Amino acid sequence: MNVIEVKNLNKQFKSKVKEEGFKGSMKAMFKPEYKIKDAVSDISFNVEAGEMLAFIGPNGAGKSTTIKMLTGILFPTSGDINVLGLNPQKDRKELAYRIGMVNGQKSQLWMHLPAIDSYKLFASIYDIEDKEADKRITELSEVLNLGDIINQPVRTLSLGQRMRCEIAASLIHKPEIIFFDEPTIGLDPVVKQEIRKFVKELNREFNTTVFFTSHDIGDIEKLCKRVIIVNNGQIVLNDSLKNLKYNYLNKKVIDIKFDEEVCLDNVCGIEIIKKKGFDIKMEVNTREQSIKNILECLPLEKIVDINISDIPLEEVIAEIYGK
Amino acid sequence: MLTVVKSYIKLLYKYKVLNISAAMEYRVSFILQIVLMILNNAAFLIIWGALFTVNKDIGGYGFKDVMLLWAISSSSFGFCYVLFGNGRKLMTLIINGELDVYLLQPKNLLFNILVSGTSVSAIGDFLYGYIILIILGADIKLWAIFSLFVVVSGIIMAMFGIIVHSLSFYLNNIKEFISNIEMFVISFSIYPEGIFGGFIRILLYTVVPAGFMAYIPVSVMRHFDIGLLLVVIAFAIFETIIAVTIFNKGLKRYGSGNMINMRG
Amino acid sequence: MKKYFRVIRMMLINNLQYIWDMVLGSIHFVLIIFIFVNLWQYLYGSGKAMISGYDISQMIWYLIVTELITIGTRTAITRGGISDEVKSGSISYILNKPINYIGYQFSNFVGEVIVKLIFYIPLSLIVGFVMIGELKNFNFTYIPFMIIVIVLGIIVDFFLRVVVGLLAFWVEDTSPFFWMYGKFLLVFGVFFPVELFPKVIADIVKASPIAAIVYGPGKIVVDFSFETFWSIIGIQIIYLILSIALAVFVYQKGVKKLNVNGG
Repeated sequence: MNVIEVKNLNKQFKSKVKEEGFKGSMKAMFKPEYKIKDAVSDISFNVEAGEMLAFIGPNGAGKSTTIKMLTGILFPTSGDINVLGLNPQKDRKELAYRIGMVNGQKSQLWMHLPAIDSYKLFASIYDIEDKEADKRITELSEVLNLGDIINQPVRTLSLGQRMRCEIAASLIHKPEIIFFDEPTIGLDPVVKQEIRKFVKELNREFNTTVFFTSHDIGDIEKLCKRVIIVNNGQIVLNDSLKNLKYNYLNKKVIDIKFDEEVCLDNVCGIEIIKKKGFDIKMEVNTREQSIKNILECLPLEKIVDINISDIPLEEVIAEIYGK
Repeated sequence: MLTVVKSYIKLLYKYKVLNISAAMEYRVSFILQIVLMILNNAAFLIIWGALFTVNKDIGGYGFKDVMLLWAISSSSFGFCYVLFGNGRKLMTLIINGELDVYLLQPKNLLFNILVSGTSVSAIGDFLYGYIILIILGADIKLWAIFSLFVVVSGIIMAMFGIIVHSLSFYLNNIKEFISNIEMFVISFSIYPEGIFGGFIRILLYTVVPAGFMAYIPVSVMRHFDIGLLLVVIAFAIFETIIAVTIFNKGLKRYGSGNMINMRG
Repeated sequence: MKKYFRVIRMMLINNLQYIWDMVLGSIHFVLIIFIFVNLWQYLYGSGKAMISGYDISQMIWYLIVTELITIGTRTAITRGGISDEVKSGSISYILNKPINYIGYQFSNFVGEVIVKLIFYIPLSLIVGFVMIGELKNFNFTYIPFMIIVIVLGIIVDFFLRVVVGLLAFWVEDTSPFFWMYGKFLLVFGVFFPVELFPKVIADIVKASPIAAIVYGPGKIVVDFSFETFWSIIGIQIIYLILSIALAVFVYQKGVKKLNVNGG
């Protein structure tokens, strides 16, 4: 069952163009020129219930704009959106009861007050009874290991503590879909891992659909089964993480330390990337040449150390962005 | 229906408690803001005191009437921004894309935005009008009429603000303009109606609703007139409808912070 | 010296972009004059030719001059920009540069004010002539003297605002102090000449900074005499020296405090 269906979605922004310098300023004032920017153009995709989807792309690719249209914040220029059987723009309030959003850069908590005060406020915003709310807050604070930090003014918390409080705030009404907009930005590796673990648990326990954007490839590798990559407002890839790895990770890097000068001209199917002294770094396309064949061609007796590894996913994705 | 109203009232209450407790984190500043606002308004009475030495009648008002005018303008302004504190920030929220949080919440958008803030200095404005009533030795009837007008005029002011701030959905870089237009209503509603000529008076009962907010209330407080009272209430309803319509229309153009200028 | 001119030039270019904002911002300026024209017309209308020694054109032109000085020169710096720099700590970036902080802010201010005045002076003249007409007994040969007094008024106002802004070294929020400062100017100097108040108040105000900043310039434009000119100049110079000395003193005290706290 699809919980999100998007068809031919478009969003255009009109913005003023200003030329450099004084002349430009005067011109912009009296005869402003506008530039239409297609933030999102003709995007279509579906998300199934209980899925964990990574929605990634370089800055300005249209990720946030898409999420904002899915959640009813922005009105699309054209196209159809259906989230949980609702139209986000027409049924905004109804939908709001059933979705949640965590934004790594915009806080929804009241900075000068303890998080618990914000939680109680959100409980009344979502029409949750006081008793029910207390129960929910206890539950969330246990799972997210919040402990005493919900009783301290939010501004005094560390970024990691605050992020955990933010996540709890977005879950107070048990949303069926939760949108994470770069939730791990600026966090240290320990907190990142904690958050990933929690998101995984959330998905397993409650079958919550997770819609995830991040620049952290680690987040995506650890959490998501499917990846949608957008660039310049268009979908450039919509595939399972497994396929992505299979199709793009067919290259391996082999690092070898020899004990003397060797000549590798006779070894076919390799590309030498770096050579420094007796150390050689090469790339192998495993579709054209198997690792086994290459190893057989190498002067094994001269090898001091060898390391065979995948190309980092990060580089693969950067390559896709670049296309 | 009743449960909906109840849930909104509960929300309103929670917001106010939260706002006040957040502001109380800086206790000195909190009290100072309120006291200074009361003094600010009182300072204008010094000016009026000097002006009334020139003449006992200014635009058909005596010193007492000017005090009443200040009382109603100040308290209704205060009521408006204690209750709808974010009304003054609405355009900033629109331009900076800060409506997102509210759009994600299942409550009436405009209500949710407006009541989620409280202006602390407005508490001083609100109190000031009642201090004047005490000084004037007002009777219970005047207190009642005054309080009713505080609510109605406060709503007119809030709705006027929404109409003006909603312009920022359509136009860029008009911050100064908007804050000036707001000043318009306040500036006119603290001077006697009688000093203005015909054309301006028409404006004061149409585009700039100072007439409904301040002049009619003062007149009704001087000589009670149920008809005029109803006119003010009717205007408040009319303005509310206009404000809500304009805001909702503008919302379709909301850019969530994407409306930044680009260099060409 | 060159670097100060560069700062001025930057501010000029920066601010030209905001001319549109300034045009809209001037609505308030015009509005107050408009309301007071109505108010004074009502008061003079009841058969009085003079009130406290001023006729109606003097009364309005007085307000135009005082508004020009207070509203027409309002800049980010004089509104509390210095307090923001102190509080945010960005003042320490400027401290590292080989430039005198108060001098730097003054250059900023001059750049911004020139733009504002290029706009506000013609506006004041137009508003004045349209709403009330020419000023009686105005002698054009005295204009240079008037300009001196107005400029000095603006400068004294600037340095006193710097002092208030620098209080941010010691207090969390300086806006109440800005508020009080502005209110005193407004009530006792901007709206109308202090002669409308009882004599005791009038005498105090005439010896206060209010006289140097608003009353003096207003008076000199609408009721010129060399006697008033010299007495106002005297007061202005006294307050100019005092305010600069105070600004430097407060700044040095504040910076020391900053060093102690490690910035």
